[in-house]
Amino acid sequence: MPQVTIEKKKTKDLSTLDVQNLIYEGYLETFKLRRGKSFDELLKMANDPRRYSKVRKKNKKT
Amino acid sequence: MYLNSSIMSSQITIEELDKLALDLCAFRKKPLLILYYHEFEGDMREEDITHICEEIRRRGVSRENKLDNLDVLLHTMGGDPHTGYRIAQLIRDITSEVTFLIPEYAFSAGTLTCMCGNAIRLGECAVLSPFDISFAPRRETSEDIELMSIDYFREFVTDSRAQVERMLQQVRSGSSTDIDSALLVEMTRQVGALNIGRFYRARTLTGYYAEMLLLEYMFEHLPNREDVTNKIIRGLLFEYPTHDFHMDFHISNKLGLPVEEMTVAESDKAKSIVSALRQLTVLGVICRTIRDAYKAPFIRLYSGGQ
Repeated sequence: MPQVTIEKKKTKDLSTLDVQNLIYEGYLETFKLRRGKSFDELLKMANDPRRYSKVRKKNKKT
Repeated sequence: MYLNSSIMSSQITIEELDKLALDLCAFRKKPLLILYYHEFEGDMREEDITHICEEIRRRGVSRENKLDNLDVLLHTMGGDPHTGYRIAQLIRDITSEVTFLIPEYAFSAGTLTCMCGNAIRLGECAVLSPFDISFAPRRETSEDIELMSIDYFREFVTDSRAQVERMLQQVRSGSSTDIDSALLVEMTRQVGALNIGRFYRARTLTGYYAEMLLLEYMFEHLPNREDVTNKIIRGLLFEYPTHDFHMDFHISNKLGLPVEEMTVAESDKAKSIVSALRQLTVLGVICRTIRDAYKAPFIRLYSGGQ
């Protein structure tokens, strides 16, 4: 994240509208990063045992 | 491009919203944190925690620089119970005492968040709700299934069996009935065995979160805090008829929650903030759409010059 954005986020005197715009940008950013998936969906994907069995199989082959 | 508040000269402006919030701060003589979720499009989600945390820090408040008192104006239809619990802990991290102000409603996960409060002040006709679990496999395609519906179905099964057995006794029939297993098999077929398991697990989880908050904060100083906590959790999870049961001041008070009715002046002030937030959302100034049927919440800490 650019330094300017971080500094802006910390400013105590941000107006209500600025804060809401920052929040909105943050949500959009998270939404893009997570490719439209919710946190719960990502959590399930990350902890899906099938994912690790695939990795193990690959490792065995190599 | 952002919509500017100045374009809505005939409508409510963000400056007017600030004025209303500061007016409530002055009236209550406390800082005010507003958490507003717009109708059904603004459910409580994990992402909210970071943004609430950032806003609190931005205003110079932190775990090391705690507030003595804080009002939290909460307006939500609910959402993720994990988030409800974590927001509660986040609030308690930054203030010694907290009062929840509910101008209209704080349902489900919102009610769970309120369980960390020293008091809950309800506006005129404002309501809380039980925090039973309901699941919708896919939001847009299916109606939510409430765990309470399963409970009631189980009661229906028990009653049905008892009634059929009584009838068989009356006609002096030697045969027995397995109507209960037939009904339970049908329910499992419709809801899905794994789903039922998930419902029960989730209920345990919500109950655990509520217990933590009630014991640690709301009833911290009560000598019989465990009894009071158990009574409330039993009521909120098992005894009320539906998930969307409206718990007004009288029902919440009877349950044992530390609820208070706002004075008319206070209620009007709190409701006017919600009304302004609603209008600003409709105008697209705040709580803008992130994706279909999902809007960002409004998060703002007003220190009120303290």
